Amino acid sequence: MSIKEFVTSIPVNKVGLKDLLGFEKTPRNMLIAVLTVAFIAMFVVGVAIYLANGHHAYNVTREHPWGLLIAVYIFFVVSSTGLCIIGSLGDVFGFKDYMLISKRAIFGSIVTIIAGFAVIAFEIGHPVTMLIYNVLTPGLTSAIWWMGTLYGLYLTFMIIEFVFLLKGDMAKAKIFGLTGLLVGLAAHSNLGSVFGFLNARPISNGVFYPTYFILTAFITGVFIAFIIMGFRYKLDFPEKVRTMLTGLAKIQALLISILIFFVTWKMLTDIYGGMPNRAEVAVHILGS
Amino acid sequence: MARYGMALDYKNCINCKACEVACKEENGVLMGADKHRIWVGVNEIEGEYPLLDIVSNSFQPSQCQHCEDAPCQSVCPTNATYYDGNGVVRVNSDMCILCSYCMNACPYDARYVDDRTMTVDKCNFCSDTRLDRGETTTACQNTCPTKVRTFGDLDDYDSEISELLRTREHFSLKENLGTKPKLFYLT
Repeated sequence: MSIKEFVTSIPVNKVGLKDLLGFEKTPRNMLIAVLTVAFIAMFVVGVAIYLANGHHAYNVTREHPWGLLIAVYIFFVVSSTGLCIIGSLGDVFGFKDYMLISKRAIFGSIVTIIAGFAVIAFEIGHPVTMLIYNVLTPGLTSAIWWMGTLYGLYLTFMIIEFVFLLKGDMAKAKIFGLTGLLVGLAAHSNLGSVFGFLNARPISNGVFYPTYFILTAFITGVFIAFIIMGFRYKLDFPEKVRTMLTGLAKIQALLISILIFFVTWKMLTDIYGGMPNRAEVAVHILGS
Repeated sequence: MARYGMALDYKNCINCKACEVACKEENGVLMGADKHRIWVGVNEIEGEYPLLDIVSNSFQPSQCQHCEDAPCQSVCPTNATYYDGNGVVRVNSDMCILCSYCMNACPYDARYVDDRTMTVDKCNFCSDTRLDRGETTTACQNTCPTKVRTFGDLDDYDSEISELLRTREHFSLKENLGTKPKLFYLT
């Protein structure tokens, strides 16, 4: 089968601008439409301010070089990894109850990772230079290089998996889904190691962040799955969906318990003994 | 090829900041850019007048430590930060993407954003200015009225800095991090 035949055989509905604006004007749909337009408008305003003022627009300083945009980027990639995990429960690991959310979750993971890339493109001072020299002179000891490269691969695998899901080819979707999941987990734990590798910052140095990022990704994925399914069924769930959501809620309870345990001990070990650069930062985080 | 380092007889520092001025002039650091490239750390005088603890007032001139195992170099995703032939940690501004990872990774807070190029910059021992012109001193060393700084080749047994490090006790900052700084504080 040629590439052209392959692409044209993907079952998609052609959606034009008219279809996009022709949605049912219920209050719920209107709220989502207004929110979407408001977020896009804020993005445009943010980009305009950035283009006018450069990196100074982010109010980052020499002492605090990473600001809000890094947090937003991390939110999106955490969401993406989480949705990828949720999507994989059904079509990679074969849990039948979770099969019905796979397609939506994988689509969500593609949307959120692209949103993350859109944010980081404006945080990085020279994104075009990054594209060139990431390839020409790769810094193989840099966690940022691995994170970026692996996320690029992850996006590719997610798109391929989604195409096979659309075509109903579950065997190939499983192969690309598993590869995408492993690459995604590697990318996401590498994002954690961006902080974990900082020997100069005792508060973040160590194994905590790489594992914490994977845990919070799973938790965020479950929450977004709730939102997706709640919106789809207007909170009036059929029995199959109810079973799936109940299962997810039980997993979520376990994950949040682990997170509480994890963060409590992180904070206690940070503060204990009053080690300079670690205890003060932990107290500052707790008080802020 | 040399292995450049600097010894600082920091107890001689009088906080006149001539080194900061000379550095700005030589390396084109913008006016108003505080504590960029080099700076003088100040321990404020303790006590209340007239009972002032004069000994508590001390100065610690500082800058990039030119580590032999520099965290800023390891974390750079595009290898814009590199060691030149003389062991000096430098930045190629054409390759810097301003991800700011090096600023977070440096234990000495020695890096800053150069507003002219919008890339991260740092002290490079005047490698692209004075040393490039064939001079053998850095701007900060050359201007210091109390001869705090001694710059030179650590591999040259007969250099002034090697002599100083052989004959005087010295320490480096945050040695426990294993960065192997090439700035030495003489005691």
